[in-house]
Amino acid sequence: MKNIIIKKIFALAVIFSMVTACDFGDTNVDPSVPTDVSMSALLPSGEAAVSWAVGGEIVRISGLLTQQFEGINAQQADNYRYLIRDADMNGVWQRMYFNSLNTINTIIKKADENDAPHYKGVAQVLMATGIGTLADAFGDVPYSTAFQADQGNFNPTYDTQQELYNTTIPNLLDDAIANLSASESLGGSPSGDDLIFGGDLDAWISAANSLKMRYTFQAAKQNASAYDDALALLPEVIASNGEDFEMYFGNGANETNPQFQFSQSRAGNIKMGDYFTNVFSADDPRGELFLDGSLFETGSADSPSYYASSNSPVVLMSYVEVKFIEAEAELMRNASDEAAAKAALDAAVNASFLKISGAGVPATYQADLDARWAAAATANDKLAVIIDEKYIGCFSQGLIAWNDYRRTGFPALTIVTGGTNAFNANGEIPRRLPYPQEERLLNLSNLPIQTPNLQTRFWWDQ
Amino acid sequence: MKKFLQNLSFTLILLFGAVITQAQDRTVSGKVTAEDDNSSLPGVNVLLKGTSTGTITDADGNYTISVPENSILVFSFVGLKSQEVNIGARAVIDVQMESDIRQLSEVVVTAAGIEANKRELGYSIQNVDSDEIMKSGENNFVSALSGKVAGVQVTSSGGSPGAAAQIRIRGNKSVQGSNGPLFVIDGIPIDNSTFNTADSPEDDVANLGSGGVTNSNRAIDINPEDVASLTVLKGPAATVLYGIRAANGAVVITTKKGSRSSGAKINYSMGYSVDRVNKLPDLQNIYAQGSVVGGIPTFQSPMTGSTQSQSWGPLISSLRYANESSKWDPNGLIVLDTDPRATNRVANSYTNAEDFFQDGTNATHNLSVQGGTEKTSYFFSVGRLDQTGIMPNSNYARTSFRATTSAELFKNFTATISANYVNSGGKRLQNGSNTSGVMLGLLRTSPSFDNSAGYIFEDGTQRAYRGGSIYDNPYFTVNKNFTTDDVNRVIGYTQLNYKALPWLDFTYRLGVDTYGDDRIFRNDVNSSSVPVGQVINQTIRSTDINSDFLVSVNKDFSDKLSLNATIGHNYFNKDVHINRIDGQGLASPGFFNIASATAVNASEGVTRRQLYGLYGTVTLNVASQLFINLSGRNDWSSTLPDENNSFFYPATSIGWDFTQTFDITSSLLTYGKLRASWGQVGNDAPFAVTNNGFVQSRVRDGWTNPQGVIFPALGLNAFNPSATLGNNQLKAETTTTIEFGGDFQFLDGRIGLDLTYFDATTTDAILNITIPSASGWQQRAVNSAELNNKGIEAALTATVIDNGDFTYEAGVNFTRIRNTVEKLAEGIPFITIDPFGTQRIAEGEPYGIFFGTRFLRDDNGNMVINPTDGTPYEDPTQGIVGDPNPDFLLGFRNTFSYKGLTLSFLLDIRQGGDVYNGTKGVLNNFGVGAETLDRNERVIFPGVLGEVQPDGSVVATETANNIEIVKGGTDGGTNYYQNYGFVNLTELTIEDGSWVRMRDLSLSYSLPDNVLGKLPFSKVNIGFTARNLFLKTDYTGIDPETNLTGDSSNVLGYDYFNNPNTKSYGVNLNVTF
Repeated sequence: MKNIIIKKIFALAVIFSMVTACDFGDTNVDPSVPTDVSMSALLPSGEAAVSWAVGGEIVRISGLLTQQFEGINAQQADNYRYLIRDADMNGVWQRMYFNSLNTINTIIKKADENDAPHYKGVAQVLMATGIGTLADAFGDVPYSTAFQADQGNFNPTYDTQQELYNTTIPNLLDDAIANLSASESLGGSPSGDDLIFGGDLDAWISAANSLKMRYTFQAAKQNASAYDDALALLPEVIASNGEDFEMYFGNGANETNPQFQFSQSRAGNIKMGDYFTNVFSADDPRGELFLDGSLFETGSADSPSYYASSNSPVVLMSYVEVKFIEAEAELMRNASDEAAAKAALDAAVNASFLKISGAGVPATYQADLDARWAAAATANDKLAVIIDEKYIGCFSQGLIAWNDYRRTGFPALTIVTGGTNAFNANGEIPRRLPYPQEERLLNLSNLPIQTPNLQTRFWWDQ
Repeated sequence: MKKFLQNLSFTLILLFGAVITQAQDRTVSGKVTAEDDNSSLPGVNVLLKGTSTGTITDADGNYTISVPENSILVFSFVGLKSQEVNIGARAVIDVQMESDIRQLSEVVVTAAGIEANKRELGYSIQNVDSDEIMKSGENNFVSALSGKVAGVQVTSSGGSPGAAAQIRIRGNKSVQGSNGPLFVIDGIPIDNSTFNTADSPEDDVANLGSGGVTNSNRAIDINPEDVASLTVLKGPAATVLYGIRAANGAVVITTKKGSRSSGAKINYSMGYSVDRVNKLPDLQNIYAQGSVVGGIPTFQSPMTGSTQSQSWGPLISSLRYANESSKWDPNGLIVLDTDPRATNRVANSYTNAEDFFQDGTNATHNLSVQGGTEKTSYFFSVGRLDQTGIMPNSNYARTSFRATTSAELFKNFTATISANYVNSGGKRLQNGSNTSGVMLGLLRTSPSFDNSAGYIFEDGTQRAYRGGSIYDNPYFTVNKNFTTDDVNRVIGYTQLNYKALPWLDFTYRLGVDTYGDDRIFRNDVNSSSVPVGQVINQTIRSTDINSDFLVSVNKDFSDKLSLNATIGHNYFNKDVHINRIDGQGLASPGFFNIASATAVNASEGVTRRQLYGLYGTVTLNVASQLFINLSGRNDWSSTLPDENNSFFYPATSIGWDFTQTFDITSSLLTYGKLRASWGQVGNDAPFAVTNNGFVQSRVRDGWTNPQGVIFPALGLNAFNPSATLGNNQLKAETTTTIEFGGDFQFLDGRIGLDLTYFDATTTDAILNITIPSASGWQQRAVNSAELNNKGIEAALTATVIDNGDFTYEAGVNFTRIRNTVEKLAEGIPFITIDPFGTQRIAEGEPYGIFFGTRFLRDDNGNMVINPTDGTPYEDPTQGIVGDPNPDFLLGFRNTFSYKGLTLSFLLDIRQGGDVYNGTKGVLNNFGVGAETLDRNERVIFPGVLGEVQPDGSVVATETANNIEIVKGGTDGGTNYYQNYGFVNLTELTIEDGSWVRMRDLSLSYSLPDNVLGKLPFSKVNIGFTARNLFLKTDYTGIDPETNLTGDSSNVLGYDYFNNPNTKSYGVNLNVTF
């Protein structure tokens, strides 16, 4: 009898526990967060994000430091007078590594799994664009052990800028070109999901070659053959404004250009810099399209803006830049060829006028340019002419203006007053951006520079 | 199956076997009354001595029992002295019972709705009665708890109508999980979420929206008038039966109910009060808009074509109106007095901030009916609250209906049904780090500009001090950018109770709490944050279902030993759906319908949770002096990985009434109990952090909030990997608490003291740690932190004077909590918990320490001075600059009564607790803060000169600084107030948030009986109330009781253009028929 009761109680307990022992099924899966998506759902995000990062904060910081913009309020006023704290850089870093490059890296991994070399090639070009921009802003940056949190690596190490320039970026781009040239891509090829080139693989190949040219050339202070190496790439690079590596934003309220949105959300934080305003001659129609009137000051445009309208493009690499690189390389290479340099300069300036105003360079402008070139006595004076033109022609294109200043010392900017602070003790134009606060606090052991100092020059600037 | 049923019935027969009682000899009946007022006493235990045979008195105090001849009956009731009566030959025995001062008659509701006598508990528990809640004059009853319970800290998020209040019991125990307690109403846990309508769906998830509007915490839906009593359960020994949801304590509310066999009692009460802003930052109103140009303070304003944000201009008294009109100022164009156009009319200076605020009003009406028949009881109420804010165009309203009826359907089987319907919501205004925030535009406005002289021009553009839509004119934002919410909520439950035997009780309770919250978030065309205009429709649907089945045993083994035991099963299911439609680009100003938007994006969010629990508790009562409790609960949670989703936690407590043991009858020490407890409570993970996924893409940066590229966009949809890396190895976190204390009564109960010390350690705390973005992800959920909270809580009550007509009663609640982050995960130096990255959790530091920018100092603590401009250098590395945790909290209640007149007030003291005054940093940078009145003073900053090294770093020298500069740089030199950037050094913006305030004051008068006799009322009470009558604090901003992110985050003490708090004065009337 007792035994039976125990059995019954046990049976009850089992029934009770059957009710309660739980398999919750997919209760803990968020239906709005899919566990997998296709490459074509990732590509527009990667392209828009990297364009936003390069065309947004990067353009502003480069413009503030080279006086294309003047900060008049909030943190932009601080940055303008060289008060740049590590915390100010968290945004740029997160926008690049998390929002842009991790998505792009996911495409690369998926392309490998799905045998889709065309997607992989596109993603590799975008990766090179992002890593190159980061290296020009910060110097050494994480790459070879980045994007590995899902494999348990939460503390990425830093690749030296030299390694990135000499090996990583060229290899990445060579590999991209090989992938883009693959005869078939079984896992699919980008087409309408490619916001930049609409699946035009040849355009991606010339973009890749042009980036190779930029990153070869940019190391000229360190590498004597950089100019010749850059020129050797000329046959493969972007050959017209129509092939520019750029992303157009849209007029829809949810898809507008980053500078336009900055002018709307943060009106009154910046205005066009006096130095930049004064470089435009009266016969230069680009002035009106670049100077943006009171757009940044008040949020309302009184004239059309080339780079800060709602549907303006963000330029990642352009024919104009290629030609300026060619001009500088012809001038500065050991076997300097001033005539070739001038021809490339003329082509660059003309391309810029065409791109921005729709018409070629005005005769008066050309005449003035010819006269300035002729008056420039030394190679360095001629370099100043090239960079002064590039300062206009490559306005709003990533970090170009600041890169040029650090590489050549041109344009001959006057430092702003009140620029001394504990981060920038000598008060001169900063040579680098501070590593972001999150790296100082979360990844200190790997951080190459332990104290934030804007005057510490990195590899290609030495 | 048939066999199973047979077996089941057999088991049931076994269980109920004791129901069969033996034949009795004869019947005795009678009535039990209270000695002091002759009222009948229901529920008194009548027991045949030495047996378990007995009954209890009914609602009228009557009992009937069959007993053998010459037996002895024992009458007992909590709080009364037990009596033994030899029945002899009597058939009717009426008994009068007297109260026992040593048996505190305080009945408290403990976990799972189990009622207990406070004296039998081995842990700390504190009651707040309905009077205390009503005295506070708060509409949000969470705010009403401030200063009234030891161990509890309440922080309201501001004085906006319907603003949330954050409540913490014994400090913060979790890092990213909720630290809020469980709210339980009549045994049914209810939802107390705060949902932000943030800038974007992903901010909703992160709950770190620093802009937006102040939202409500959902406990605000409870009408404070319906609350009969409230008990705060603090430690795990008290809450273990509630399981993980009470990991941070529980607030257990009992609503008003009718009593059986009583006539209908109708009660009407109304209140009306006026709210005013209680504190604003000090601003200067002497210097005009402008900046220093070439060493000269220069007037710059929209009328000079400038978008100047700052007020470093000339003296306003040096400015004149010209005989020339300006659309920016109805008085005319403003020019310098030296300008040829100047008239002799001196330019006005405005106190924009003070002038902006208006009187808010607060009207409440409540009507209730309660009563009962012999077998039923009922309570019905309807309540209405109408509130208008101190900011124009803000309001909040709440209508609630409640019905609770209970009926004894057949003998010993009672069914209770309760339903509560609430409609609440209002108009809410933007605040915080948001160029459409009311305070941001208001406080930054130059004193030379009059915000009130119109906010919009005929062409629809804004009239604001920086010109167009850069910062919104505060009148624009209140009228054009408001958010509305409309909540419809039903909380209902059914409870079935079967008292099978005097010692055996079955209860089943099923509760549902469901609401829909429909919000429309608006930014009109030409608003500064979204110039194209924006409308966001957001619908939140939340449903909680809670089921409890309990079996309770209450058995006296002898008159020296009795046992209470309960076992139970709990099921909880939570389902939240958030549907959100973002519409950007409005077709026409003021047309806030989704049809108006030119670009529309929709998103759908879900949060789900299921939980099963099995629990049990046993309390042994040894000779009414030693109380030993053992409890435990096992939970199965859906948010943990399958293999780790079951977890068990135990608790035990001992209470010892030593005055009984040693038979101490001194009137000095009337009663004393020592108690000790140890307990654990588990906590599960947030929803869906065990897996990885992809989220719909939104591309933007910190400067283009709230928009960006919101996919679908540019003709395509797009996704990117979620920022949070999932973790399928998570396990439950555990808090272990040890508690010691005692409850004492002195001087015949005139002084009471409850003292508690606790030490709570949370291990394996689940948190989303920030990981370097270069790793590809930004956050990862891990079990890592170990947090410790230690504290002392004391509650003192004293009847200082009691001479019949006049009484003075005082009560003090004291709380002192120290918390430390003992450990974080390996390789994780800190976790940031606030939206600006200055508040963090780091090993060895208190919770939420302020970490930020500061001055550079040498080894001796001297500031290091920049030799080029004479200002102190900023330290290139950041450090600890403040601690938001208060040293102690103290509530001091004083109540004076003379006949029908009662005066009561609560002094509320907070000592310590830093507040981040980001507002001040910006206002000083802008030259509108009152501190900047010293702008022309010449100063030599104390410190030593720095020397720049070749590598660019700065090293301190031993040379004392002797560089004299003009502090505000009005000579063209460096401006100290602008030298450290826009929000200034964190070190300069951290301020002590200590306060002394008169939290509430009430004066009430009850009509005496001789007057009432001539009126149709049984009770009439009229009163005057005041809230925050005075506030004394060194904090220079608004009322330091503020928090930017409200209850939805674990942020403490954050003030960045928060909406200010209020004080109020009111009258009330309470009439019972």
